[in-house]
Amino acid sequence: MLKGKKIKAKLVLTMLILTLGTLLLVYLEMFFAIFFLQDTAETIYHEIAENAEGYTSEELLKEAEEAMMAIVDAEAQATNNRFSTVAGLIEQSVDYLKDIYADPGAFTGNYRPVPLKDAPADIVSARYSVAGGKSLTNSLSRELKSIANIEPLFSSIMRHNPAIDDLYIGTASGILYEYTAENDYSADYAHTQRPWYKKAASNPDSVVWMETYVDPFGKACITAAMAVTDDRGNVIAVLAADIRFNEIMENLLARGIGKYSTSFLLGEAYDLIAYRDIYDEGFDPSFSAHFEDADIVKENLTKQDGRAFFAVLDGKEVYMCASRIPITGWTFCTAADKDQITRPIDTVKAETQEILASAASKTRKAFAALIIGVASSFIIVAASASMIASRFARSITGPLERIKEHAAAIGEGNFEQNIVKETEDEIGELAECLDDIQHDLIGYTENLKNVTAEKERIGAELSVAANIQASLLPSVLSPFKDVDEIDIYALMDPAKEVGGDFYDFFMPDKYHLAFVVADVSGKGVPASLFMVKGKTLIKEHTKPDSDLGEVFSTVNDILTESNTEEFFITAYEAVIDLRSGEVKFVNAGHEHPFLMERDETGAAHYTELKPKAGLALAVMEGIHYNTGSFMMQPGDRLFQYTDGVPEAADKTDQLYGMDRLVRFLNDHTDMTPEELLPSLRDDIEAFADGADQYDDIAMLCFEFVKKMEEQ
Amino acid sequence: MAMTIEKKEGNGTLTFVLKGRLDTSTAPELQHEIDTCLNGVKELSFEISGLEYLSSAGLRTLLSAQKTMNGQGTMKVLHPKDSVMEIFEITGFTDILTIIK
Repeated sequence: MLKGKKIKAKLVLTMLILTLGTLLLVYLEMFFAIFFLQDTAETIYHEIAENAEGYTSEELLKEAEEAMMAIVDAEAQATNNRFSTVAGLIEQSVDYLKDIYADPGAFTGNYRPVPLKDAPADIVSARYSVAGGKSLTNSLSRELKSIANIEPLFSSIMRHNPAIDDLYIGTASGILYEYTAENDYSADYAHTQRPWYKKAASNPDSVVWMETYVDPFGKACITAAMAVTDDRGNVIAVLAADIRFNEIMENLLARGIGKYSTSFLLGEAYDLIAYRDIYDEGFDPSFSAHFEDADIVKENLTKQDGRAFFAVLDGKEVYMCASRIPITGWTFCTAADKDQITRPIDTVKAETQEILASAASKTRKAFAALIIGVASSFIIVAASASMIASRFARSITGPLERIKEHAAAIGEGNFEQNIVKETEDEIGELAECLDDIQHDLIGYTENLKNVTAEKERIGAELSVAANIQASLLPSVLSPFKDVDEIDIYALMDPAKEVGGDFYDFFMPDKYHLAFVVADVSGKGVPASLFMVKGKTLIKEHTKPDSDLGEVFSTVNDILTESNTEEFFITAYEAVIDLRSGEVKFVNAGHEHPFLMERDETGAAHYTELKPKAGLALAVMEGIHYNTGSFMMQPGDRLFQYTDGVPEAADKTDQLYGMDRLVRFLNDHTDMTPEELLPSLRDDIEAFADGADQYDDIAMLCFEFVKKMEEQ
Repeated sequence: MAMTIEKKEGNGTLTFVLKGRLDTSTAPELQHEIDTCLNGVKELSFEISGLEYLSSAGLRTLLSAQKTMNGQGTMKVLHPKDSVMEIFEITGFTDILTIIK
């Protein structure tokens, strides 16, 4: 990330990463805290709302339940009491009637019930009819006269119990005695076939209750009945009372907890025997016609004794509770519209939610403001950090920038700059260093100028020396161009400007050619000076008639005497008598020459001439050198060289070597000396392949063209 | 390839073990050793079995050592390779140096 960026950018980036990273962490933590708080607040609001709703709803339902339970219990109790009273009266009347039947003679009252069809309406009085519209027989008449003795009791009951509408006795013999204001008469009416008679007859000794029914005269009522039995248990009559239904219903309907509630009576089989709609045409008293999931509701009615529960009555959700009326086995119920009970809950819930929503909204706004505040403070802090970082970085890089400019200027050669140490830190030290460098450079450049000048001077002198040396060696073209008997060529390549190798050739007289090839140990100017001395001495002492061994002995003594530097010279000198081809030579530690001869077939080849050499010159005084000799035929060539030839090395320090030299010479026997030597040098250079030349290279080739005529 | 010089000093004896090339570029180093180490040396040896090449500059260094030792003791040149021996022979140094093959 920081690679390839400038220091300022690196510093700024580093500081920003650290600062902003830390800030980011702190702010993230803050944000998380804020969000957590907000979340918690929302959760709390939510919980409050739920709790409030639950609390309110539960409370209201509980209240409703309590109220309804009080009502149903009270009403059931009251109804039970009322029915008990009626039951008591019936039992009392049955006992009375039993007494009448048991001892008719004891009851002598002169009561005369009138036939029902003749009886007045609206006036309560005793009346009778005979089942099937038959006429009264004597026995029936006597029985009626006895029964009629119950009138005072019935009269009293009717007076004190307004709910009782009709008190009547149906005998097994067919008489129906009634004490009532009703006078509905039907000739077909047979009371022994009626449900009340049958039920009572089949359950002697107890009061039976007939659920609401509409009698043949269209009158809805509730009937309580009880059989009258003789000593042997035979049913001789049934005594019954009709209780006005209206009376009951009014009581029921009055026992609501408001206009949205209703009460009703359920019979033993859960039929609705008292209900507000009971007068409606086509009213279905069956339970399942009014309740959804009738079986579950029935189950609740038996199980949830004393508890309210929910049900759907005539399509409306109601909260209902029930209480049994023990005497009849019926159930008194009250149902209230659930909507009406929970209406206050909804209101409270709505209000609570409104309040909470408003609170939540305020909280949210507060949090939003907080977040914006925190975020903007982050931006401000981050921006400040960036600015501070940038400024700080500039304070570091500014001086560096200037040092860079100074350094560039120094690079361009301006050493006179005023480099100020701006700071006391490493950058300041750098500035100081640069100033020192600048001052040092002034000295160095001055020095360099001098050294360069000196070098140039020495170089110039060396090249002069090289020229002088070159001029000391005989020119190849002169002076023997016009001597037909001689074809000689030589060359010299110094390893440095001036070398230690040399060659020389000259004619001591017109019949003789002398040549020298030598190598001074060491290189450069001192070696070349020593070489000049040696070359001059050899040439000076070589006379046409002098012995070459003596020449070298003399030269050796002179050189040794003045040799303070331990130089020495290996040298080979040969003098050829051009008339005969006789070659006299002396060798002071130098390489052996090669002689090219032709055999009988005319084929030419080079042979190394290997007579033992003497010690190199200038090593030791008093050395005696021997002169050797051999013959050359016209066309023969003599090749001499210095050790720089075989010891030229390539880059891997392979040496050119004697084998390569011999092969090259024998491969090029057709070349003239002037062609041969440059070719050989080229071959050596090609072999060295760019490697430095360690040693001077000198070589000489002489061809004895023809014998010279004596003049 | 340059040259390495190993010195083995004993009681009045000194042996230079030379390896590589003794030529113009390496001779001054050996010359320096000869100039500074020969004081008190009675027997000087050059073990040159590892010497690949000997130039005239190297010969000159050996000559300088021989001249110094002429005044104070003896000097031997040990085990030259054939190519190096040839140089000693050509230059006639076999006459003035004690060379042991």
